[in-house]
Amino acid sequence: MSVYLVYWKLELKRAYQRFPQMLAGAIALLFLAGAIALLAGRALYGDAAVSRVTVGVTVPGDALSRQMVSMISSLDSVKSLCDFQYLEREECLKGLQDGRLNAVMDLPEGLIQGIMEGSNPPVRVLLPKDAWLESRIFKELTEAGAGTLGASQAGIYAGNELCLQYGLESAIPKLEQDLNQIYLSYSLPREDYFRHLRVSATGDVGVPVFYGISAYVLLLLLLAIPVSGYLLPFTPVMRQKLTLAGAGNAGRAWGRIAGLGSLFFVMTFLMGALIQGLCLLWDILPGEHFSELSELLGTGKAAKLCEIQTTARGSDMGFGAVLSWAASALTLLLVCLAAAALAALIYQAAGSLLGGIMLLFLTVTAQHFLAGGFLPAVFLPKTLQQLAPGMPSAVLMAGVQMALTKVWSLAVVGRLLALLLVCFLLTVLFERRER
Amino acid sequence: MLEVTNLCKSYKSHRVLDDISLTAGPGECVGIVGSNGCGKTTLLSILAGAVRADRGSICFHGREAVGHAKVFYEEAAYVPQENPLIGELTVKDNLSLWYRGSRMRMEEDLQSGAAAMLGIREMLKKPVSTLSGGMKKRLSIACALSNHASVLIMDEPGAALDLECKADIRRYLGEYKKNGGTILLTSHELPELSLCTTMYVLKDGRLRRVETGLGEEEMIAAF
Repeated sequence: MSVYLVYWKLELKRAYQRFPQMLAGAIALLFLAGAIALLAGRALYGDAAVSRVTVGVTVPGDALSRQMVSMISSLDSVKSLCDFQYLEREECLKGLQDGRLNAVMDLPEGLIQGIMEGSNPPVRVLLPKDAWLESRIFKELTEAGAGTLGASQAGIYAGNELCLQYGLESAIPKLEQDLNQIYLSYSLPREDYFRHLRVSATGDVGVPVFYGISAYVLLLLLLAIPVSGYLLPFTPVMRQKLTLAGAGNAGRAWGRIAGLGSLFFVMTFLMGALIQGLCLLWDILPGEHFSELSELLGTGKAAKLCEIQTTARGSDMGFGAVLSWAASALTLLLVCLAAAALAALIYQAAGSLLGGIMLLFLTVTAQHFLAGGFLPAVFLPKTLQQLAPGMPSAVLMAGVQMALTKVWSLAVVGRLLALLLVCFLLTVLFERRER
Repeated sequence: MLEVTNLCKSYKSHRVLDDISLTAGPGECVGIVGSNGCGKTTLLSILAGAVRADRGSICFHGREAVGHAKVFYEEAAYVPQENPLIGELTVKDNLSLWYRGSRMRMEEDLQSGAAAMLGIREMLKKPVSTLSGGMKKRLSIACALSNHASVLIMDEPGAALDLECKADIRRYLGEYKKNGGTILLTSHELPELSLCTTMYVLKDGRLRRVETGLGEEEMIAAF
């Protein structure tokens, strides 16, 4: 038998001997992460409703402006996120300073008249100095609203100008009326269309699923810590002997990666089974029986996870479904191998147990932040946003997302393979250097 | 039969081995002595193929080994000072690695080969990390001899072992020599050196032949 086969078999055995440590580590990490998330949530938001944006609106004198604000606040996209409070200017500014308001909209007098005339008096949006998430969301919302308004105005002005060019001044009022009607007839069905398409900072998946994927990837990478001993390079003498026997640098590096990767895969399977179990319990015993769990996961969050699981499960268990499951499993295996390669590289580079633990923890958390794993990349500064797709966590998260949503992409597979290959080659390089 | 000719090795500008030549025939035991850091381990590592020489030739039974890893693997059994074992695995697992998974060959050796003589069978199921230093050394020798090589290269075989273990290993080396094997060893211990049929002192990168059976004072003077 080839020495590689024997060596890899023994590496697998060595890896699985550490399974209890990894399991204990996973439980400890989950408790730790859960506690941090709960405490951070309380510290940040207290008992207040999370994610509502409270906006103070300075009351304009004219009735038309009031009517317009009332109409905007009743729009679905705004209503779902914002609470408008109509206050005097001083009250608004005080509320902003106190932190009671996330933003203030200062409406000028004659706003509607100005829009109709084309003078466009600006609406001032005031945000607190240290703009937090809600304020940033409102800023994005107002910028999007201003863009939409600008586009509509441009359409009307274009029509007016066309009428003037052809000497049809008298037709302008009729044109505006018709344009309004036609515009609404198109925009309303489109709004209805967009109701089915959720646009989120977290991409193609909802917030709970996004953070589920992010937590899984972070957990996977940190799970290398309880099995640090397995990832430590062999002694120089052992390496010499293995090389003599034919198991060279590349074979040894691959043995470690495959061993850890397969452990990660088993952990993934167990975590999947746990989520499935929770989903089943959720289905069987909904409501009050699981009030605590519901609180923990956030109302509807677990349901979303179940949705993903059941969608993936599907009702058709034919060949296509089996193939789809196999593809998902293979993708997750690739994710596990790439994560294991990264962990092996870090330990090989560190060369010692403590150094490896420190380097792994720091590298993993830093790059996970840069990848948008803690806060979605769209909320990061522009320069960091550009770095995000290149971070290992981003590559791994894209792979997990693909396996869950079953929206297949060769580019994602390519990035996973590239991550695995780069980490493998660098591990081999460090192994050679140590020789 | 081992023939070493004009072997040289330098670490950066420091020449560790300078034009080393020696021969060792069947049934011979060649001892290499010298002060700490004189290059004994480097010389043995080169002879075992674990480290590359800058220049020179190493022939096992007329087969040139330099540049041919297979020759080293087939002809030399190398027992380094530090035991090349995987602590988390059992004795049997460690043996199977060096026997390349061949259960038949391993079983034969456990019945009547080097592994049997070293008493490995009794500890097959034990994790290596729970073994004593002497047991680990015996296992290292058994692993090294899994290829049934006729040249055994040992770097300080008795280092850090208790008296009983040292005696056991000496007994085994005596048997190995008697059966026509060639032994090359480095040591700082006179009882082990008493096995040697030829002795060399390594000093300033050069080998100098000395008489066997020297006492401690004479040996120190030769360093």
